[in-house]
Amino acid sequence: MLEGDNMGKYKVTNISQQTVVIYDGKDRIELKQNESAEVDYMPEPTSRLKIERIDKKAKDKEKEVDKNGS
Amino acid sequence: MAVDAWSEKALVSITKIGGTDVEFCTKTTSIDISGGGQDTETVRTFCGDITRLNPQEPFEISLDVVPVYADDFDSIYFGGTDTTQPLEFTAGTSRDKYRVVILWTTDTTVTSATAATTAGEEAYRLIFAECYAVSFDKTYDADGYLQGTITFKCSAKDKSGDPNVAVQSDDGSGTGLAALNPYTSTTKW
Repeated sequence: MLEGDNMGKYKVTNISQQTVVIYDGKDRIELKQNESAEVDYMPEPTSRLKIERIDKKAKDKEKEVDKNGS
Repeated sequence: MAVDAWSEKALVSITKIGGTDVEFCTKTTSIDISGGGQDTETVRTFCGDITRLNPQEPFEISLDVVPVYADDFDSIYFGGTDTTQPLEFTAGTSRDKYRVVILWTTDTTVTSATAATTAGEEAYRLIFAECYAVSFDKTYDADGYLQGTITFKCSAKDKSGDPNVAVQSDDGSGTGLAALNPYTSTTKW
């Protein structure tokens, strides 16, 4: 089990020259330079990774719909 | 075909506890592993000798490296969490635990020292967990290039007596080495 509780949907891009390995639960994802992957857990932020939360927009939209609906 | 000696290539992976594995084979020129001595001592009695076992000494892993940016090795040595360019890491920030993994293998598809190797391929892997970066020396000559030596130190065991160091190998007759687990406060490999 990875540490922390940053669950969500994230797009992670390796912006460094070195290959990095991120873990999505127990799954290993090797990212070479400029490669990206979508994971359900936010890896520890480092200067090597560009981390974008991609389910946030969807959540915000949901909220907007709720607002409009009520 | 059996390997006579490992040469030319090695994969080096360094992982901050709770973090991602970063592959440093493209920035490492030399690996030196020492320590781990398990000496004995002789206690003389009036009839003969008693052999006393001394505790195992810590291991030291020194890597000659080619630092280019602050987040190559300075971030490991100084600690810190700066993620935005331009980067800055300052002395005495934090001392984090690291896992250093070195893999030699005939499996040319493997690009990470922590990855699984294919059955039928030969492999030799050294794992050092709970390491601290204890020094990072740099030298630069007019006719050379900026080079550094980063040294990690780890005790042979943790406070519970569980090992911090492991060696794995497959001579090609096994199922291959398994991929390592993420390095966390509860899992070393």
